[in-house]
Amino acid sequence: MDLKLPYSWIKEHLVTHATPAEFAKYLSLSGPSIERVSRVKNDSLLHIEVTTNRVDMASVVGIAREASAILPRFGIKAGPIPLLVKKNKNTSSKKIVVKDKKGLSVRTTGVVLEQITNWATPIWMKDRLEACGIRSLNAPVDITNYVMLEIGHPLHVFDFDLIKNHQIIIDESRKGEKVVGLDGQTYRLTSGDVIFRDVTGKIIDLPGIMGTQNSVVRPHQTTKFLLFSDDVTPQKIRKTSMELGLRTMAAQYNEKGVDPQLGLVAIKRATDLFITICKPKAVGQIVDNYPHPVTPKTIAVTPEFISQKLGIAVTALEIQKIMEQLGFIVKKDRGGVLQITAPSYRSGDIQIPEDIIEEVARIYGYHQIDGTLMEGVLPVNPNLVFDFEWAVKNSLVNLGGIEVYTSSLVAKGDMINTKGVKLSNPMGSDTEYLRDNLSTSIQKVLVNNSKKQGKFFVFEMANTYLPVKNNLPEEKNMLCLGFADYSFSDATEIIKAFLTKTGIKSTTQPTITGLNFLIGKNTIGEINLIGDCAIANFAVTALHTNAKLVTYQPTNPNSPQIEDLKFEIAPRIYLGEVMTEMEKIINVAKVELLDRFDHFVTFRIYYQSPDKTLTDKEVARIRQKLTDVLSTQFAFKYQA
Amino acid sequence: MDTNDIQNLKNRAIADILNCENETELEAVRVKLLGTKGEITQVVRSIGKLPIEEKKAVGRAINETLQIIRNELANKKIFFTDPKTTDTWFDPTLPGVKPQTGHLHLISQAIHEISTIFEKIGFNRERYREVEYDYYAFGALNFPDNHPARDDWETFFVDTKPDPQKGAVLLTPHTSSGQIREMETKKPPIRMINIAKTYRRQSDISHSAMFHQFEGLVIDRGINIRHLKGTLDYFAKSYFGPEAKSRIRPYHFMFTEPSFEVDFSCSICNGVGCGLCKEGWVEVGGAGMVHPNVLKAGGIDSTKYSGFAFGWGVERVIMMRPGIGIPDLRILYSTDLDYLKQF
Repeated sequence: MDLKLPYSWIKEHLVTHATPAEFAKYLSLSGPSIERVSRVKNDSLLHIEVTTNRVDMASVVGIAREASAILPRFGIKAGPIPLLVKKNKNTSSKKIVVKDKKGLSVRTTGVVLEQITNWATPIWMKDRLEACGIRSLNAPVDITNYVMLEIGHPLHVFDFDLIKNHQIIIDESRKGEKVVGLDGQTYRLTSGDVIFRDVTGKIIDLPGIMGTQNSVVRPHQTTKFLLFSDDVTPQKIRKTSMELGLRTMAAQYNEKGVDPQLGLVAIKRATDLFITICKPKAVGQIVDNYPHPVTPKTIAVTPEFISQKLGIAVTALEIQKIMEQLGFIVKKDRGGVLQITAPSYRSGDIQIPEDIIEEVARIYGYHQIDGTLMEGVLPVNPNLVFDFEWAVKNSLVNLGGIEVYTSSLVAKGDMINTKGVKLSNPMGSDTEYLRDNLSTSIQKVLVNNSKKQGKFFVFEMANTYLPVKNNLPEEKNMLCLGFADYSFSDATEIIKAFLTKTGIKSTTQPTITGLNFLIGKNTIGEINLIGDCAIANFAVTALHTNAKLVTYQPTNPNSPQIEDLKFEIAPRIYLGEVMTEMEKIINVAKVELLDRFDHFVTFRIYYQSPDKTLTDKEVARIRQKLTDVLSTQFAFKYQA
Repeated sequence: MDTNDIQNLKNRAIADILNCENETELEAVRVKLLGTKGEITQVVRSIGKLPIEEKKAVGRAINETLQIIRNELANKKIFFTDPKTTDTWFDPTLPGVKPQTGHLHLISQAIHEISTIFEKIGFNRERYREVEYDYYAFGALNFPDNHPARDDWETFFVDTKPDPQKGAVLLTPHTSSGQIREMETKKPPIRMINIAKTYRRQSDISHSAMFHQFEGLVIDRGINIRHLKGTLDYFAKSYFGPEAKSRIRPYHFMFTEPSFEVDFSCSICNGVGCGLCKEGWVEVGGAGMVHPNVLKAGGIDSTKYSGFAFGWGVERVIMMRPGIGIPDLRILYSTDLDYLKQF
């Protein structure tokens, strides 16, 4: 929660000589984060970030309290100035009746003030509210906002006469009920929103969030004012506020669970300000309903436990001093155990001994704790897949590949299976599904770059998400490559080079659209011609399990005999397969495709034996074998 | 010595210079003419001895000769050193065939760098699920049932039936969901660095709906705040350089107690304070001591073991690198080759 508070206001509740800059610096190290100090008129404005668990700090008094514990640790004297409230005489018999049969509000407190003579907000209050980002309206409303920021408990002021029979019934909404807020907007409620009704059932307030138009004070018309405080369950406040998009300051406080004790303090403080500023003719009795007061927790901790978790020795005395400065009550029992009781405004966030550690450590100062690395036994069995992935990516980069990261969230049209993994709350229809393939994303990368780039290839390694019945989807790590301006054959050569470099020995099998890569009978990947582009996909796990360390092969000391052979070929022949067959013949070390024209091909043959240099006679025999195989298996005609 | 002699000397000198075939010969000619004992030097020296009426004319002639010889020497020198004038001339500036250079993505580079840094101090890299049950992302991490992080406008949910025990299926908004997975499969000592894709319903200059986080988790006997501070400082120095510092400040997370905000000293201004940091510090992420409820959920005895965890965006540390100058986090995910080829 972000709030802005003038430093002058804080200093009304704190004696200190700290400059605003020092104040900001030291509080940020040990307490609330003060993001920035800006200047307004003759004042410094502190921009404060309060974490959700510490709504008790989200006020002038709360910040002053923190500061009085923190600043002395940095050698700056600081002490709180207690807020004094007057005991006012009851001069009005008017009072509000609150019915809360469902127990929807922990506490409700109200007081009636009659016949005010001043509606104008004093300049000093107006300036402060505006510095804090709150628009000044009129004195009665401004006082409630002022007290909210000062004490940290939201208040509301009603026109008492607009509440029929002076009776508030706390209830939950029915689905579809409508209400007009202070802002003039109509809000449609869902069921279960906490609301105030009058005796007729009419909704007269969205408690803890916003007042409604039918009960709000009317400048210069209202004669009786009801200052009111309530403590509706934080979860209910959050639900209603988020559903209606009503993120009022009151809602931001109340959804974090403000201390009900503060409700009464806030009412008393507001009454004092009302009397001083608005000068009412009569003040009623405070009506306070608090059937089940919150009891703060007492937590037992030992100084040893705290020292252990901090890594430094802290004495019982030091702990006691720190905790007492923060408003905790500390009792030491005979066994040296400290019994620490939280103040009411901390009863929400202080639950376990670790919470005490945090208080001691931050006030002691995290900056005073020296860092050190761990000792001890190291964990074993590293997951080796990451080294493999790194090697794969690097070998593709070495071949000229450019790695891309595209979004896992795609449109329905990008899916192979539209029964795939779908989001229930996507940000838009173009990011509605978790992709079940990388190809579509890679194709888009190719298309988007094709106009200004020449020949290139990109790759991505990422999960695809495949639905599994009654379980989480399978997250299948895939490698996808896309080739732009590459011939299909050249793209395939890149893949083959990559596989060899990765230690994978695979065979290929032609399909209608391209090639499958196989190890034994298992397909580990494929390359397909899609439009003008070749796109390849591999399952990373399959690559990893089949990657073998390279075994040394003795190099051949004998020079090869090289010759070119020309053949007339039959149509629709897979030349790659033919060449694989040719290389199976003993002492045919290598076959290259030299030329292909019409229905003629020329191969360059490397005859080579590991044992000796082949004689012309021996080569002739191999050539014979070769032409026989080509003619019988593939109907090739040798062109001597 | 009269002006005629000087004219002859000049002609001979020019011929000598023009006849030179290489720089060494040229240097020899220069010494012969202009060296301390050179022919022209000697003529210059002798001027003083001449009668006054000759001095003027001879002086003018020798000055002119000197200038011409110097020019010729310089011209000949250029002839020998400028490649444009040689016989073996070729154009070394002619463009060739550009090689295809590969490029590893910045995110991959950073992930590798981060994991290497942590592996050096005994961490094991892991990558846990992106699509996860509520239990791992929130429930077991001590989030109460109605915590706002579970709201529809914060976290992505998968359109499927919730598991009766483990709750709704969602896209992990943080790598912290890997904590429980790690504890379920391993026993202390645990030193894990979990790097994975994470998702949140947000998109602006410093957020992308899909991003990468890294999460450190250490669980062992006697782990305390000092160890966390030491680890953070070690990372700051390893990644940003030996001058870098880290600090922790109070913060609040459900799954750690105490919780911290982690700041690194600004690597742009070296911690002095600049427009991009807060008085020399930059907020990077969160950390804390593992909450006893989380240890319990992971089946680890919190009376014997304690631990710490930290985590933040991979993109964040990339953007913080001095000099990288990427103004918008979403640019990292651009697939424009003109960008990808820069790194």
